[in-house]
Formats: sequence, structure tokens, C-alpha cells
Amino acid sequence: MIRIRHTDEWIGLVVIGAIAVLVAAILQAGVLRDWFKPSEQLRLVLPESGVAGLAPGGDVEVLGTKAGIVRRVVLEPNQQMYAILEIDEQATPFIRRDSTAVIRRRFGLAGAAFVDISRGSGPEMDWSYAVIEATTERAPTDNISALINELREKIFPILDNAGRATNALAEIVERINRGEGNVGRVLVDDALMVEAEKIIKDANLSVARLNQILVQVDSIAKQVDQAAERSPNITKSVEQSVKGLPAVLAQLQITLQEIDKLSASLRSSWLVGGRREQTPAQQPKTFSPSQVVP
Amino acid sequence: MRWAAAILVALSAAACGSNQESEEPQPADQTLARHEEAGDIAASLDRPEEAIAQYQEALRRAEAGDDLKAIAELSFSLAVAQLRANRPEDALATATRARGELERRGGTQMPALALAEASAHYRLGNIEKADQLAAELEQDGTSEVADGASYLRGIIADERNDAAGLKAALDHITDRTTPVRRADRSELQARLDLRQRNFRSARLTALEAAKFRQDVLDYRGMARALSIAALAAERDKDFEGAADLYLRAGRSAAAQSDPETAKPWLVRALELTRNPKTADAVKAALRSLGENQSSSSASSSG
Repeated sequence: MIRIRHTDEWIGLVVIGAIAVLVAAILQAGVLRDWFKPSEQLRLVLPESGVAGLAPGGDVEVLGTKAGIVRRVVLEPNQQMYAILEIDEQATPFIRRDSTAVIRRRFGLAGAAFVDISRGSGPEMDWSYAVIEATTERAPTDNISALINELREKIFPILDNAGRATNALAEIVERINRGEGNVGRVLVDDALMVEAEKIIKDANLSVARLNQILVQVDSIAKQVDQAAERSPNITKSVEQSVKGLPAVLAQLQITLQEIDKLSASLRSSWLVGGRREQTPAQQPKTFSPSQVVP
Repeated sequence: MRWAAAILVALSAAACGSNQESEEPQPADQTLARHEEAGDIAASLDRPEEAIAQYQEALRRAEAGDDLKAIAELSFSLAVAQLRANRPEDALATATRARGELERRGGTQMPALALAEASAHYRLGNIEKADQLAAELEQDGTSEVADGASYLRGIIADERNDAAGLKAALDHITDRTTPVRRADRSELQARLDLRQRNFRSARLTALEAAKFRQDVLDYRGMARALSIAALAAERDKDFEGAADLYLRAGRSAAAQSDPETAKPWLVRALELTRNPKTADAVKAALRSLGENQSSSSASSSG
């Protein structure tokens, strides 16, 4: 039989090594650090509407960093719900009496609930009996519903107004289409614009003709003056002057006809309150081949 | 909302459209346009001499601007006015010159000018030339010009005693409905009836043609239709009726400063009538014709 020497010593060494490895692992995991880390206790008064998913073991954050843990949630029928938080000592200077606590969820809609404590600026907290009140963050779904409600309250009156405006616009457009009102008459009745254009053209033409006539009359008057001055040539000059008169009279007749047409157009124009009359058929401005008479 | 937006867009588009339409381009040459319009107005007032003067000014302006299209159009208007003023020589010169210009410069031909030229030839007694031009137009011209050419060929055929030619011209315009062409058709039908010795029908149809001519203010054509009715009445032995119709035709021609046409009709009326009142009226018309002739000859000599 083989007998190993110093067996007991070897076994003792292995046990001691195992214990050393266990202690090293515990130290590495920081379990002991947590045990020995100094902390303060904070009582968090929970809202009456509920704890919003807060549970023991939940994180406590101050200034966005983990500063403690929810140790216990107390639900008692005779008093308001509260939670006991353990706050790391290093975070306690930031928590003052005016600090507020909000229970949030990690990913907005989902995730673990945690307590977010704001940095305070008021008097220091009495850590022998530290209490702050908590509020729950409004759930995003609640926000969306509220937003929809708010939008509905604002949009529906706008839609109602738009509907009324559309109806009014449609009525205006229909009235315009029917030619009612000044705008409708102007837009629908092309004859008004045609009349206006024609009046302007006629006026231009009449003024031009009057100018021509005045020039010719002036010329005739000059000729008559010259004839009076030069008595030997008076007969000839008068004859020349009279020769031009038929053309002048013809032009005068044309001009008077134009002025007559113009005044008739003005009389019937809506601008001066006249009624539109049936306009006679316009004579062709240029001759057609059928007007060539053999 | 979408509906309202569509209306707004449509209104905007309409507004844009009306703006574009209202911005009508002005004629390039206002002087030319004024003379042309003055000519049109003078023609509508039955003052062909004044119309001729205005068209000549406008034509001079068009020639100054070297505007071939305006030259052709104004030449046609001038030729028509000269025909109305019973100045066929001038009309012939105007139409011939304009057609030559178009041909020389390779412009678009204007068949209406050729019709005016053919009509001027007819009035001047150049029957062959008038018929030749009208025959070309009847084949190649536009519908309105071709109809006018057919009518001209019809009256030329009648004067040549060519009943077949007259019938062919009548057939060419037989389904036309415009007042002028209905008058042409009635006149040609009256001439055909007369040639076929249907005197009563000829007289009625000629009077119908005269009424149509009167309606379209073609008094020269009306006087010619009355003379055809007069001839039909004369051949039908209704001499007093014929005299009355000749008187009406001659007096109308005299009033249009066409003594060469008026005088034979008035003389024939005086020959046919036994009614003193009709004779007095014819004599009065002949006297006024003489006065007009003497005044016109004096003015032309002066």
C-alpha cells in the first residue's frame, strides 16, 4: 500500500487556498464594500395614485448617477404609502429639503422603475428623519392621450371654422359665377371688359380724329388769313380752302359718329349706372370677298 | 378643404388667364391702324371717296413700313372702295399692282384681290379677261371667292348668250345660304328664266333678288336686278310695269353717280310709259342726271 507522506498538511493547505480564493472573489465582487459602505436612510412618501412600479431593489439616482437603492416599500392601510431608500453618504450633500423625487421608468414606457432625486438648494436635510415626497412621471401614453385631447380641442374648432369659411367661399364663388355683385359682373360678363376696351379705343380714335380736324381747320384758317392778306390771290386760296372742306366735314361726321357711339356706350355702361342694352351686330372691319360687286 | 383649395387654384388660374388676355398687343403702327379704321368707318357711312383717301394713306404707311401683308389687305379694301365709288380703272390698277407685288416677293396669294381685279375688268368691258380670271378663281379660290367668281361667270355667260355657262354658274352656287349668295342665285335664276322665256317667273325672281340686294345694302346689284325684272315685264308686254321698274333702276343708278348705267334705263322707261306721272318722274330723274353729269364734268375739268 502506497502511503503519501504529510497528507494532513497537504489537505490543510488546499483548504486554506480555497478559503483565500473565496475571500478574493468576495472582495472582487464588492459585496463587502456594500456592506461596509456608509449610507443614510431616506423616507420617500409615495403618491396616493400608486407606486408606479417602484419595488425594493430599485435604483435611486441623484444627478443622473446611482446614489442608492430602494430598500423597502411600505403599504399600510392606515397611513400613506412610503418607501425606505438607502442613500450613499457621498450623495447626501446634494439632497436638500427642497429636493424632489420623481419615480420614472428606465426606458420611458418600459423598464424598471427608479427614483430620480433632484439636486436641492434649500436647507440641509435632517438625516435623522429625512422625508421627501415623490411624484410619478406621467406615462408617455398618458402624454400622447393628453396631446391628442389637446389637439382635438384645438383642431376641431379650426376645422369647424374652415368648414364655415369653405361654405362661405363656395357661396361667394357661386354668386360670382351667377354674375351677382360687382365682382361677379366684372368677372363673368366679358361684355363689360369688351365695352370698356371699346370705349377706350373709341375715345383714342375720336381724340386722334379731333386732332386731325383741328390741324386741318388750323391750316384752312391760315390759308384764309393768307388769302385775306394777299387780295390778288384771294379767290385761289379760298378755292383751295373750300376744296379741303368736304374731307374735313366727312372726318367731322365720322368723328361725330364715333362720339355718338362713345356716348351711347357710356350711357349704357354700368360705370354710370346704365343698363346694358342689346348691342347691334358689329359691321365687319374689313371687306369680305362677297362684298366685291361686279 | 381640398375642394376649397381647388376653387382657389382655379380662381387664381382664371385671374392669371384674364390678365394675359387683357394684355392684348397694340398694333405696331398706330397711324396705319387709324387711317384703316377711318376708311372702314367712311365705307360704312357710304362715303367711298373718303374711304379711298383714308385707305390710300394707310396703304402709303404700309408701303413705308414695307409690310407686305398690310399692303395686300389694304389694297383689297382700297379696290373694293374704288369699285363702290364706280372707279373701276383705279380698282384694276390697285388690285393688279398688289397682286404683282405679292407674286414678285413670293408672298401668300390673296384670291380676293384677283376677284376684285376680275370685277374691275368686267365693269370696264374686258369680258374675256374677267372670265379668264374668274374661271381660275372658280377652280382654285377659296369657297367665298369661288362663289363670287361663279356669279361673275354667270352674268358674263348671260351677256354672251351662253345658257349652258349660265346654268353651270347657277348650279355652282345653288346650295349657298348667305344673303349675298341667295341674291346671286336669284339673279342668275331670273336671267335663266328670262332666257327660257318664263317671263313672269323671271320678273318675280328678279324682284326677289332685288329685295335680297336691298337687304345687304348692295344698291348697285339691286338696280341691276330691277333692270332684269323690267326686261322680263317688258317681254311679258307689261309696259307700264316695265317702265316703273326701269325708272326705279335708273334712279338708283343715278343716285349712285353712275350715269352711264342709269341713262339707258331711264330712256327706256320714258319710251315705254304712257302714264304722265311716270313720265314726269323719269324726266326729273334725267334732269338730275344731267345736272350731276355737268357738275361732275365741271369739277373734273376744274
